[in-house]
Amino acid sequence: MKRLTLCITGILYALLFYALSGSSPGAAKELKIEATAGCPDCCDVIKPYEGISADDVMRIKYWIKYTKFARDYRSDGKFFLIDKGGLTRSRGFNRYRILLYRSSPEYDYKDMTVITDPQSIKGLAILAWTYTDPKKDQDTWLWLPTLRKIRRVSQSEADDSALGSDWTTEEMSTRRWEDETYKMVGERKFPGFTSKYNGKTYYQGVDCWVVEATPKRNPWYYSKRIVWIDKRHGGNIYDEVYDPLGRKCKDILKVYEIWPEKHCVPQVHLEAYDLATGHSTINEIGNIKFNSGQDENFFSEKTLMRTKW
Amino acid sequence: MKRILLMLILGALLLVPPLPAQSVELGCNMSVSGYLKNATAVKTHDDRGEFLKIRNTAQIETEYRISQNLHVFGIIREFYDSVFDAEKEYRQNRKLLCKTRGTDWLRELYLDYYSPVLDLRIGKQQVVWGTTVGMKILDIVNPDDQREYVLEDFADSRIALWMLKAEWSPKVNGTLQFLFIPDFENTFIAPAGSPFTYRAVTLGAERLAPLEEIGFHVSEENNKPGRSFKNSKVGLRWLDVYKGFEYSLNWLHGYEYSPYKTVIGTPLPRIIESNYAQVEHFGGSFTKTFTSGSLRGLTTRGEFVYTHGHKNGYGTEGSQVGVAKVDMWKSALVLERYVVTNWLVEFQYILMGLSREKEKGYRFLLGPTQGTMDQVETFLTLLVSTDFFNERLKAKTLIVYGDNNDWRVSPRFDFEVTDKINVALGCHLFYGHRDGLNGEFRDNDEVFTEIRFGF
Repeated sequence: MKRLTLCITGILYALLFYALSGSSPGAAKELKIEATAGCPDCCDVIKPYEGISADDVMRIKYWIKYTKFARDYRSDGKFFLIDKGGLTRSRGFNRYRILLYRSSPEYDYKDMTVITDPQSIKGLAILAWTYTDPKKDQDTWLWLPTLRKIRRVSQSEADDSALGSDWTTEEMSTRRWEDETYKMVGERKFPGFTSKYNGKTYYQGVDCWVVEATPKRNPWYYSKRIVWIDKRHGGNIYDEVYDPLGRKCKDILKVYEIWPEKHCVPQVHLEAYDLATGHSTINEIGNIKFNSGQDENFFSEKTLMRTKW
Repeated sequence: MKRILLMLILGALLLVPPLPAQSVELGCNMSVSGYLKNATAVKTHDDRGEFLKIRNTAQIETEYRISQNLHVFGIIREFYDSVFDAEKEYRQNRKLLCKTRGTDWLRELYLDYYSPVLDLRIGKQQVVWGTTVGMKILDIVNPDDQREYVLEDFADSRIALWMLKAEWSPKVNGTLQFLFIPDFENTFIAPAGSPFTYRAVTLGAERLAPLEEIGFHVSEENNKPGRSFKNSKVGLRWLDVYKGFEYSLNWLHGYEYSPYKTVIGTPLPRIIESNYAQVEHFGGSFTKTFTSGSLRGLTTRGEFVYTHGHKNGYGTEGSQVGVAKVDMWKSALVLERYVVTNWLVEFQYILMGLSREKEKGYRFLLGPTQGTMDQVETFLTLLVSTDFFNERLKAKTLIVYGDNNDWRVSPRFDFEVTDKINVALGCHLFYGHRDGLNGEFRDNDEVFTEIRFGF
């Protein structure tokens, strides 16, 4: 009888362990997507709850970053690459994204970026399919205008600079919630960040959650980052990135617009400063549209081939 | 004089006040961009530093958007290569090679129609099927301008043709492409006495020279297929992505772009005829990127084409005896991976073969060199590329190896001076036997520079 009891207890514990391990880490039961009824142009909303955990704050942060509140997204933009001496190079781009995770078991979203200038790289287009499975890398295709052909390419290494900017590929497009562990540092008022680019001071006195994010990959090109998250929407407004020796190596500023009627929160101005090289990258994003009814067919090689340059 | 004038114009344009880096928008429906470029190459084997190229190019690209799904696009390009003025050795070909031939100045001109399931492109254009580097396997839709061997970017050396291209997408990732090509241009190769004349052409000219000296003229006839519905090229391609595995099935029917040559007249030749075989190309390709597991980050690509009805010369080394039908195939297996952060390494294993080794006891001959061919020829290529200073400096090296100890090594550096000005420095080094694809140019090792002003 004693053996039977032990056996049953063992099985029950095993079942309990199995059930717990089977659930996704940090699954946020409290986080609920609120769709805006009767407003097809509006964005969905996730409201943070009282005493929210670092894990859930960061879930919202990624939700905002990849515009998962919308069904599709498009924008035009420009990024400026500024070296230590002030020499500025620029890149213009159009960006398109369709969010598929609501209906597709396989794809999280598909994304296309088309470079519009300068002339030497005009037409370069990048198509990326991101999978729901966090263990799977993106599938990436490049339209190479100088060769007039499409090439499916290996995803760039995550620590590589994205298009020559101060954003790594990971920071720009491939980092996911599952890639880091999170610790809540506290709730603070943001002291403000004065841009070296335009002299403006951003977000002074804004209420934030401060989260320390540590990469699961070790060794990795950064040891941790301190992420300041705006309590109003859950987007990260400022990151301090630390190198493997624990020295601060990068400042990142992200400026959002809040569309109160449609509940959308797009990024409109980004700045990244490499403190080791003195190089910086400024992104200006405009002409933003959400939920314009983009077709999944658009995110295919056929569209890449439409590029003429 | 023309060279000096062009140099002055180029220099003046480089000094113009700063313009916006992006293309010029004329109204909201039209954009214009383009570039001016000087490309200069110098032979390194010659003590005098003989020029192989002093080419100034101007290109203008224009797009007019009639509506959201109806666009017109055109490219006009003109160049002048002063090497045919500067170097006595090449002066005989000045008229033919120093500037754009015929209507080639109209590089592309087409009308685009887009819809979610059907795209149409009608006009002068280039269509690319294959993606191999340095050598073409499935890239068979357009002919090439090989005046500079295969050293130019394929997009620049491809000869655009008038055609209809329709892309129909019955499913999200699947596209059926239909091509109808009533136009025909043969692959252009440099005549004798040019910087990159194929050995076969030089040998032919050397044989005819004594006859010309005694006043016996041998005429050449280029029997291009006439532009008619019957002679049009037709192609189909099915492209699909199934669970991350991308594949294509390709078929192309029409005349080959490279001629087979026959000599008419005995004992002395009277006419050398260039004729074009009607062939069927059956091909396919695949690409798989490993996005998870132990091979994560590796991209594999494959291309294959089988050409039925190909006609090839046969004979002895450097001397063609006759021409026979023989099927031909080419294949490539490609592995590509980033190894350290931004170092991309791409390896290609290429095989080219014929359906039989000999004809009437003779070996088949390699078209450009008239060297005898093995039934299967093997090539290996390695491309290593990276960048520095936030992609301001890009470096790459392509190494091509043929199994007859035939080599080409092509390192290149590109530097972005400003948004509008780019410069490049590189070289092409050739090694091998005279009858090899690269070895035939072993005296043509070159250092080149490029300066490009984009607007």
